[in-house]
Amino acid sequence: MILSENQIEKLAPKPTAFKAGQKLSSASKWSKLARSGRALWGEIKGSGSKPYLTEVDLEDLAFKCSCPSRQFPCKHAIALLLVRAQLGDQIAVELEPEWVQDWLDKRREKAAKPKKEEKDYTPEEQERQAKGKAKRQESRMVKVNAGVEELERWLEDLIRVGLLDLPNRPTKDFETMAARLVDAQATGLAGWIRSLGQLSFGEPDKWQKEAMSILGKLFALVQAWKNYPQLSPVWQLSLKNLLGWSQSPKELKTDTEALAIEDDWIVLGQEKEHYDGLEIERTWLWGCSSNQSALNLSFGNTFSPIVSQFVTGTILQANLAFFPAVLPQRAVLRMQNRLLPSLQQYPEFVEDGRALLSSEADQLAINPWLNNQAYLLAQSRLIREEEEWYLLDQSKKLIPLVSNFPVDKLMYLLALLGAERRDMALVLRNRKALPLGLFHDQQYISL
Amino acid sequence: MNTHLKEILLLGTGRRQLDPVQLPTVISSRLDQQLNAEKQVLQALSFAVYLAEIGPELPSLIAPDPIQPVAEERPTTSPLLVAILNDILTLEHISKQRWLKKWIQLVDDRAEKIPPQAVGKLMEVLNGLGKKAQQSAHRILGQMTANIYQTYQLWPYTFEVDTEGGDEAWKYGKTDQRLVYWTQLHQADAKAAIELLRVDWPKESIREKWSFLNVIAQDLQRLDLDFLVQLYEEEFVGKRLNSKTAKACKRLIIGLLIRLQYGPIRNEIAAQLEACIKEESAGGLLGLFSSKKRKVLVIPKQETGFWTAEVLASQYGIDTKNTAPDRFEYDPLFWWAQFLELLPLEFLMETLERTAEETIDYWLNTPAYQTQINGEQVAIYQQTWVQKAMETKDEKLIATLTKVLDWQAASLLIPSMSGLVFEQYVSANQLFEHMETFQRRGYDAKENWSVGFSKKMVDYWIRLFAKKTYAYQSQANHFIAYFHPDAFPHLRMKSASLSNRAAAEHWQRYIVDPLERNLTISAKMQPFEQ
Repeated sequence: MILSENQIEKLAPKPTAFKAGQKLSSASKWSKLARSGRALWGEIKGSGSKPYLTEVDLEDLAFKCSCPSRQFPCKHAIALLLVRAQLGDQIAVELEPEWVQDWLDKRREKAAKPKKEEKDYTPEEQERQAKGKAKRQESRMVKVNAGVEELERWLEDLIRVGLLDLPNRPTKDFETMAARLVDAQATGLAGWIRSLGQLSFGEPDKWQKEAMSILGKLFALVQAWKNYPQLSPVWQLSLKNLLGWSQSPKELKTDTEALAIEDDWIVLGQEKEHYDGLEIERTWLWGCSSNQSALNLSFGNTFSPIVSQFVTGTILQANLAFFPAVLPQRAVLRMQNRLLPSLQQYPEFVEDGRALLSSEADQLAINPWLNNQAYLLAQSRLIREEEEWYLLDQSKKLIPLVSNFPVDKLMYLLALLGAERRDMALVLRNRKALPLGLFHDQQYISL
Repeated sequence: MNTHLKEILLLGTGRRQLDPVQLPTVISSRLDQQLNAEKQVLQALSFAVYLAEIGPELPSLIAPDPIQPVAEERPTTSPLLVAILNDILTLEHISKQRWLKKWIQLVDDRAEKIPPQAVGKLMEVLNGLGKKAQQSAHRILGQMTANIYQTYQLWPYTFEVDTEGGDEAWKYGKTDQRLVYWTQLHQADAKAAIELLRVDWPKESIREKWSFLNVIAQDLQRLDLDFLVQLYEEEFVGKRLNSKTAKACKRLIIGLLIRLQYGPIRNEIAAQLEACIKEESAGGLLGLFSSKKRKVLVIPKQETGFWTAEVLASQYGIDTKNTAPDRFEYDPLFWWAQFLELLPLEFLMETLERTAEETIDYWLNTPAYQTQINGEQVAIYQQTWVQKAMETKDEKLIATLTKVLDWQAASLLIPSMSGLVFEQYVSANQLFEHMETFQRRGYDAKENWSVGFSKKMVDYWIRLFAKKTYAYQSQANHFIAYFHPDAFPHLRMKSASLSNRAAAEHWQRYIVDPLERNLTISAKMQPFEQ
């Protein structure tokens, strides 16, 4: 598996790290360069007396370097991948040296080893723990219910005064309400209120429409929560997630009852969002046989940056575990077997825009708060009509593009497509398309 | 969104009441009558939002599709060449700009196009690369991508002018497009270019005529003679012109005709000047030890014969109103400035029987052609000579002026100097670390310093680093960009002489490492250049 330069660029923790890697990406900089079936390694002179030892696990993408950098992957690992992208199979195949072999063996061993059993608790301890957990849950439910009631009153007040008053409201109003919801441990609801306060009030047509959409969905969520006791356990769980209950990827990985799918997963695309010191990374994946979409969420901050597990455009033979929900969407990587050089099986595509929206409607009927869902659309391309960009499907229907689609990606996609239609991957966000990539010659090209 | 519901939402239930009858049945039938007015509105809104998300049809494309397939004429360039672009993008600004220009030109010369993955990168770096590189870049995008970018106005630079058999550009293009087309045609086939211009000449405006004459001046050929003579005789001879541009055209044509050794004008002016030529004893040692006389040109103080406003204006298009009386004490001195501009250096050398250097020296250092301005002694024709050199790009003239003028006055000529003259200028004036001098030179992708000069720069810079132990980042970037690869062994040898550790580290970091990156790119490009 050879990663392209674009993929390596996306893998770099920062643009500067990629640039630094590029400067070391000439084979002549490396005193040693070699590969085996499963790894790539090299030695490069650093500031110390001994060269740095850099290695990449090619099967289950991972990096290691003896340099002191805290960036991950470091510039040496990036450079090593770039050299591989340039030279391809010209890098000599050799027997793995001990330091490479040790590292890879340990990784394989760790992956194969069953997770350590939790400490054995006595029945009394278990009972005490269960009681404690139930008490905490109960206390949280009380807090959340109080928060939801306050939010309901706030919404009623808003409707009484009318939405035309929204632009005149001080930002503090929204912040205060959001803060109260955070205090009530309903952080999921706080996000909706913040979005309401951050609308661009300079464009009346736009903000009114967006405000109504937010309020409509938010009120439905509030009402659903009030019916919580009558709902099925899976719906209760889904609502809890929407209101801000966190889900533990660690627990999910070991949960044997969780939905898990073994498949060839295409890493369709990635999006990073920064909010209030928090970094959120969304990665969309697609199972080629199961035709299941998956969304992986990673969170980081300045002190604990995200170390991406996925490289867009790659195809992983892997096992993904899904968080329980009415429509399982969020998933974690439970086990990765290997990276595949090309598509072994071509996934299914929805025929056109009409079928795409119909497919989304079916899912919205199950979960009306669903958004950011990935889809595969057959034979479409980009077109501009009256200053707006659209995807043009094979039935000549126009699906508008999200307004903030980056111009560099737009130009890349145009250059890739030319006048041709191609099978594409996209995310539907409020009925607008966010293109992620396209399929060509048994390959997936991510943007 | 239902209008009634929207109105209530915007104005509030305090001012409007919800009337379920005015809502679509699909919503009104589901409303919970137990809820208060505000909650009912919110519930109706929830239903409306949901219906809007699952409901409406997508619009269809009705207008004709603006993008149609085009057969690509160019093959996609080698991935190895694309990889070089990535290397180039890691370089410092000056080197990057130079290599980008070279790289784009190389792909264009090979009549290849770049793959889509490289398009975004190329588009990001085009700004500031200059029109020529941008036009080449437009071609290497590939026809389909270029068409799409143009159609959707994503190409922010000038469009490519079709110069191949491009009648269209000539007939319908804007002035600059027509000029580009005609310049290229004149270089390739002067005869055809002249015939084309001859037909359209009467329709051209005087500004455009001036522009075409300037193109001829930059690429003067014997084949231009007939046309210039015809223009001169039909439009300019004996005519007193009012427009400044028309007068400038006339002077330019006369200058061109003299350069082409056109007898009637050349002989006529030579004869007129002959009347002003005097002989006087040579100055200095030559004057002391020999009886050799030297020719001098004495410009009359009063209007007389040839030197009259009427004759000069009507015959030669000279502007007779003295606009710089502080510099030119009397009018004929002012008129002569314009003559100096139009007469070729070799003609002036012949007139005074002097070498190039002596001729310029004569016009700059003869007391009669100097004056006091703000207490300073000024050569009244210095500006004229510099201007003339810049416009004609006469290599001999530029080289001579560079030697004769002081370094600051000569600095105006830096962009026009040949590589060799520039190196001599820098060496003679010890300007090895004078950034402004190098910046004035501009960024020529094709230029490299000579091996000798590169070595000199190494010697000078290594002394500088040894003394100061810090790097001059911007100067260093210039150094790296223009350094001749064959001087690298000399640089390696000299590097060893840096005993100070900090200095050696800086030298390595700011000079040697980036230079090596440049040389690597150079080596990688070489196989593609053959």
